[in-house]
Amino acid sequence: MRAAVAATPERRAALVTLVAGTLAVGVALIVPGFYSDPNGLDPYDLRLAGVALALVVLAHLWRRLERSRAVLLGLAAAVVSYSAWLWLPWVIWDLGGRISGPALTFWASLGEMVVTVVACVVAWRLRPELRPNLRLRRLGRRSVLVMIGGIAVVVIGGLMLPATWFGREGLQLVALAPGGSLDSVWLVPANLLQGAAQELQFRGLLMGALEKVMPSSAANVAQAVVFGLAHLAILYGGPVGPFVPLTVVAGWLFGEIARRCDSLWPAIVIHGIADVAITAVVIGGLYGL
Amino acid sequence: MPAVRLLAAAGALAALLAAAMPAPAAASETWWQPAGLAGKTVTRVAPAPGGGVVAVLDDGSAWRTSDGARFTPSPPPPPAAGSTAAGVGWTIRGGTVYANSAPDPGAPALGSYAHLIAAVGATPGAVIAVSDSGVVWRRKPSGRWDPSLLLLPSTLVTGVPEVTSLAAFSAPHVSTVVYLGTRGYGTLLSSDGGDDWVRADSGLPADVFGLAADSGSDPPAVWAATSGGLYVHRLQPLPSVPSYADRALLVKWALTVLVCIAATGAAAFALRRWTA
Repeated sequence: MRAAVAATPERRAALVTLVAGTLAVGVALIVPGFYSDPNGLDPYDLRLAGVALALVVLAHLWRRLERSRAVLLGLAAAVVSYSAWLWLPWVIWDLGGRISGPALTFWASLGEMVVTVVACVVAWRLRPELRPNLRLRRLGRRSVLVMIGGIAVVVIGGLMLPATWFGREGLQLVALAPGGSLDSVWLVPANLLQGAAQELQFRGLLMGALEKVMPSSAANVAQAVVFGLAHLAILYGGPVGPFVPLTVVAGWLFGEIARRCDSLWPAIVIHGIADVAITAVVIGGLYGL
Repeated sequence: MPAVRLLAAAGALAALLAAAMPAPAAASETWWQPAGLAGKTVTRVAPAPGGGVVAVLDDGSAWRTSDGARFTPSPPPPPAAGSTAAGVGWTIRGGTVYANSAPDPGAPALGSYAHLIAAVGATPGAVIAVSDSGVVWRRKPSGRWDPSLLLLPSTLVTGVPEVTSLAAFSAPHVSTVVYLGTRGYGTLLSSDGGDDWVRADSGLPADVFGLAADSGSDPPAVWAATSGGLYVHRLQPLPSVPSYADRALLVKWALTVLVCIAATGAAAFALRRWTA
């Protein structure tokens, strides 16, 4: 059931919150690059998590910012969980967990999902008028068909586009085998968890919060833009330019799927499968992805 | 439509932010540099006795160079006869891998047209070979062979690019890297004996017809015969990890904390001002 379009002040509050929150995290990401090497200084993006957490805590403590809570929760879920994904492997290693790189990635992805679930629980405790619609209760026939169709599009579309566009040039059989650097036993579930977490963060929490106060189509565009900009953090300092518009489009597509199926599950599955496919067949370049 | 305007504004913001990102250090110099014979199709390149390489053009002429600037006519090099490293000569005859004169136990049957093989001097026993079906195999120093890399079709309607060449440094203590040349995907390299591969074609045409590793030059180099001339990659020492004095780190962290506090404060002010 679509949320009713709310009055203008609530919509303005949501948009101001989204822009202010995104800009604050963006400033924390980019400004340190002018006087330091941020990847060396703060490889875990703790500064981003700090800003996002501070804003969401402020919104929960200060009644005046109640309208901003849901949107800030969505932003914080994405940022804090990503930071956790970065530092968890090193925490596990430092605590004596001498396991392989792919295994570390799996546990980090699980940690990312745990943080996301905590954010969902906090969102659930908001007043019903502010509570985001996560679209997790429905999984109808239409959703299943879209799921299957979406996976087919990912596979066939990926094969139709020239391999050199994305580095889809080969299968690294030794790396993908158990014990390899891309050990699929660990990385398949890790990628599935990452895809699911991102769908909950952006199409669940963030879009679900924005839809309460604006048309669903506009909410989808807004979350897609934030989704694209969020990938600046992942590819910071690398060949990031062409990647951002692609992730905006991908985020918008996942949002459309969630809206039209009224279910987040197709997007979760398609996103997870796409992440697994990228890990399996995209060979990294000299300077990263 | 509002959604379209919002999307356009967001796209402009994303483009601005992306432009504000510091350019990657590697953008200023590509991995491969042109090394003469520009615009000509170089069909083969092979190490020359005494250093440098001999490049063979599609018209049959052969040219020797050691720096990519000066070329002298040369007799064409003999056909490649396998790869020698750590005193072991590796060849493929009739699809079977031979170490010196004896078949290597455990080696796969590579097919009667297989001929590409490279041994890594810095890792005795590590060998890369390509079957005539295009599967790249790798041998560990323990003697175990595994399929390492399977190239995928460029699109659904085109075939799999052909693997045309392999190159590795036969001299010990130079590099563990193995280069793989393809017709369509440029080059890929592996620095761990074929366990992991990386795309390494920055600056190179897509069609690579031959590769040669030159241990004798200073610095050692890898040469590529391509549809657009001769290219070279000169090995460089890895950059040292930067180390910051504790005091400098403390200052940078303090500044970062201040930036974060300022960003949070500005956002909180905006929220208070415009969301009440």
